[in-house]
Amino acid sequence: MIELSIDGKRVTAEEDATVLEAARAAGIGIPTLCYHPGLPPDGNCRLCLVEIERKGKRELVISCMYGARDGLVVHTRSSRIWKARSFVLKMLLERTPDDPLLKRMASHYGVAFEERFHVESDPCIKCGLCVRACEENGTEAIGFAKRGWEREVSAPFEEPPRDCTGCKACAVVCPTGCIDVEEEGDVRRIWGKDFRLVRCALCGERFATEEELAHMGLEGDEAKYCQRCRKMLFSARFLVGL
Amino acid sequence: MERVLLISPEKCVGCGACELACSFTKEGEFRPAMSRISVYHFEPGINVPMTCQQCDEAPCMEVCKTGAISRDEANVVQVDGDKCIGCRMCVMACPFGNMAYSVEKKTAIKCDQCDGDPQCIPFCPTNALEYVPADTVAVSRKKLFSAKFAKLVEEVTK
Amino acid sequence: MKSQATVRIGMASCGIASGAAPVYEELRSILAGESSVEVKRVGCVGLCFREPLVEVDMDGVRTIYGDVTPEFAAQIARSLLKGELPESHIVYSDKAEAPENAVLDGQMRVVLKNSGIIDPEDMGDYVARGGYKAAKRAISEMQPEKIIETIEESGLRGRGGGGFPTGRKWRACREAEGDIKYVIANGDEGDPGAFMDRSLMEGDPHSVVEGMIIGAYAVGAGRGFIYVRNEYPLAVKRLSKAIEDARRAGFLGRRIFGSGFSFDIEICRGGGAFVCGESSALMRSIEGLPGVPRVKYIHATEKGLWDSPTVLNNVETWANVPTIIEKGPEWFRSIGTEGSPGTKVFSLVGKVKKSGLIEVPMGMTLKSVIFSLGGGILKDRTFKAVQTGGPSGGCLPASLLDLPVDFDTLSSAGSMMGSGGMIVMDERTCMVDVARYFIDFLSDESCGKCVPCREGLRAIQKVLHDLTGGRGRKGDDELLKDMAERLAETALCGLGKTAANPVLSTLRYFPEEYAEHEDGYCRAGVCRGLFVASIDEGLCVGCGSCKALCPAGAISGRQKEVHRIKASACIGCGSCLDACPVGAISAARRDAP
Repeated sequence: MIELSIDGKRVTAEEDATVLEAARAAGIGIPTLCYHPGLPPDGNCRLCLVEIERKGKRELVISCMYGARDGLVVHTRSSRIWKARSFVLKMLLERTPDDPLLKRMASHYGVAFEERFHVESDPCIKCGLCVRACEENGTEAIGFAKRGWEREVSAPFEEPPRDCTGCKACAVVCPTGCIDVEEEGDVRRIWGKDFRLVRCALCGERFATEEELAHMGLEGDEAKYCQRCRKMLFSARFLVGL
Repeated sequence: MERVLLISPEKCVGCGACELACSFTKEGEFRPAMSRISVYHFEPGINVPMTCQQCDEAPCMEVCKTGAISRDEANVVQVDGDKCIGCRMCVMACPFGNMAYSVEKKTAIKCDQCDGDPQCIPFCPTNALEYVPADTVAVSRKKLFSAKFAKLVEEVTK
Repeated sequence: MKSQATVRIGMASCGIASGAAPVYEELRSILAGESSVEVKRVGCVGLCFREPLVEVDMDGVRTIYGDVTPEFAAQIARSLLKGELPESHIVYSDKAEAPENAVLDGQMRVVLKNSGIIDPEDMGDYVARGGYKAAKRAISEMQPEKIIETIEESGLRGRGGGGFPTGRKWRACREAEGDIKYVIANGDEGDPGAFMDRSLMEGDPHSVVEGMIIGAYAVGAGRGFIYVRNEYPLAVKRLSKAIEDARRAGFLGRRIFGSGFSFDIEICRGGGAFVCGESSALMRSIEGLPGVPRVKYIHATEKGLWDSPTVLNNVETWANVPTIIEKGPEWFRSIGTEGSPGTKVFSLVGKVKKSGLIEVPMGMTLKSVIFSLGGGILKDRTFKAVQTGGPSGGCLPASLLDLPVDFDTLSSAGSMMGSGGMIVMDERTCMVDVARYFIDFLSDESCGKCVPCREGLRAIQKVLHDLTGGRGRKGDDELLKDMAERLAETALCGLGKTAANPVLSTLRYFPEEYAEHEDGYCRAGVCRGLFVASIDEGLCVGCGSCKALCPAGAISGRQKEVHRIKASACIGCGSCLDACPVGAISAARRDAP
């Protein structure tokens, strides 16, 4: 364990913790948009900026990737941090003015939408959580395309992604909820690709896509019955086995 | 000391109190569908309560790519909801159907033994559910239970 | 006895673009079979404004001919056959007065010592001038530790822009844990108007290779990469040839110089983006991933290419290494300033009379570079600013012309050394428009990964476009300053952090131009519609050039009589300002309608 100071408070943390993890564990709030505890950090939203003291100076670093060290002195509240976060939020709000989460954060920082900087609306904030979730799942079906202002999340060649299993993790982690998932009958549609849903052999619930089961290499009962029916089935079999 | 959650189906009267206690503790409402423990009624007088067996080689933990599922010091398999990305692979991987997914909470959910104080236990009127020290007797009964499960799994996957 | 002569034709990209190829063909065909004359294709000589250049080295005396046409090349060849030298077109001479003597003699060529002299595709030429001696000595006689000490003592700093002490970088990499280490040369020069690295790679590729061999041995790397911009095909070709030749000679590959040290170099062609020159993006690009920067709280010397310890230096930094090993750190320290020893190569371009490739000792003043070597401002207009350090650098005003050019001085003045681009601007340059140009460029080239650079640059760009388009608002200067400072603080990579520099430096040194643009006036007569052309009747010679060019027919006047401009008809395009040979036309404020 290491000990560091955050906003004057002594905080202990694991050796490999980041400043963000140490702060949050100590109940000190730091805003984030591109961070997810289950995914590798990427540091692109720049919202989690904090100040650290180094060589007698205060330096801005992003807490989601800056490693906590013994004796490190961190500040999460200062006018400099406030201004930096306000700038980032303002810039995001200009492109994504209607998102409730962003609006809430922006109003907390006293940031308002200004018509002058608004060029076009885009619900996606390019945080890349979806891309990282997909990578982590071993599917790597989507990624970033183009650059600069035009950077966007896309499937290869903007075609229905070959490797997508339709697991929807991308949509779950998306902070602005801008990934569309449609389900109609036995079909789930995401990223422009249609997935056939597998029905539970007992209750008929549509519990997975064929691709998900194939990706996981599931055959047996797991590929046939939904979670609830599996639970029931095993209870029954357990009885028989008694 | 490590404790285990023992299920004795022969003692179960199928009252469903455990389901209500669990859903109330975990979700704040009496909604058996959201309970981590389920009681199945097969015939009058034949009931089986079923919940996570904290498998030694837990398939749910093995398929989780984000480290959201881990085993704690009390040997209980836990889900860290913050780390869950909602891929539901664990739900599909559990052969016993003991991992579920909460759309509202955006995380996989399972029996976590309520931090060492399972809330279903005090509500079971017949001691069909017991939370007992992992001493030899309990462990051997638990192992028996597990062995049967293992055998079943084997049969099914054959 | 007939004199021995070597004829060198500058055939780097600059020479080829100005027509050196037919000049070479002419000389070669006439002089073929003439044993006393050797005809060579060489790299950039540096006098780019007089290309194509032909140098005749007769008995050790150099004469350089400029603006050589194939016809004049034939004349040179025929004269040489008679043992004579033509007397026209001379731009430089060792012996006699020549117009550009000052440009070459005012320089100090360390990195470019071979450029324009040797045939870059002939390793023998390089070796004949002492090439690979330093590498051989380093590997067979010096301990790696000693080499690092030498580089540390020399005070060599990274020529790619940052100015990080090279020795310290090497030491960190040597001391980093790991069996596999890499060295990389950054030749992804992407700054508009910069061609230092290109000229070096095209003119003396072996110097980069040799520097890398020494560095690899010092840090313990077995593999090296030269990351070259894909838009530099000639550099790729010549570097490939150099690597092949070095391999064949046993300077690269297994057991170099018969030692136990093995090292080889591969060329990696750039991913076609400005941001690929940023170190972490460059490494991702070599790895085969998109060239997008990563947050680096861990140095590349610990976790770089494929997460192994890596030294990344600019090609110019590498090219300095052999000479330092050969001549010693004291010699190197004796050149330049205390904080920035050695020389620096610049590409001097813009509104300067003698644009080209120059190498000068660090600490030379901007004035000497621009006025002594560069010959002053085109059309003898007034100097306004010099932009150093590429798009991420800054614009320095006339009041700072006496600043010595070194890493620290330029940074504290709000600009930076960068890789060595130097763009000179005159009074006909609008500083707000310059900022707009660079922000346009940077916004186009932003990878888009982080919010401040992707969205923030776009917002800054919007305000600049408003200002240059006559839609400026009061307080836009303050707004820009605030946004630029926030961008610098919050962006992810070096490119984003410095992207605010063009705005911040022009705001700092030319605040009046911003204030004028808020009012809808562009004093330089650049921003369309933000001025009316006005003729100084005392200066007008009545030549009619302005009238002939005016697209709006706003100018009237008879030949040899004073011309007049009808302000209400003037559209503010600036054509007449450029056309007037005597500078009688200026940009005036447009009266409120």
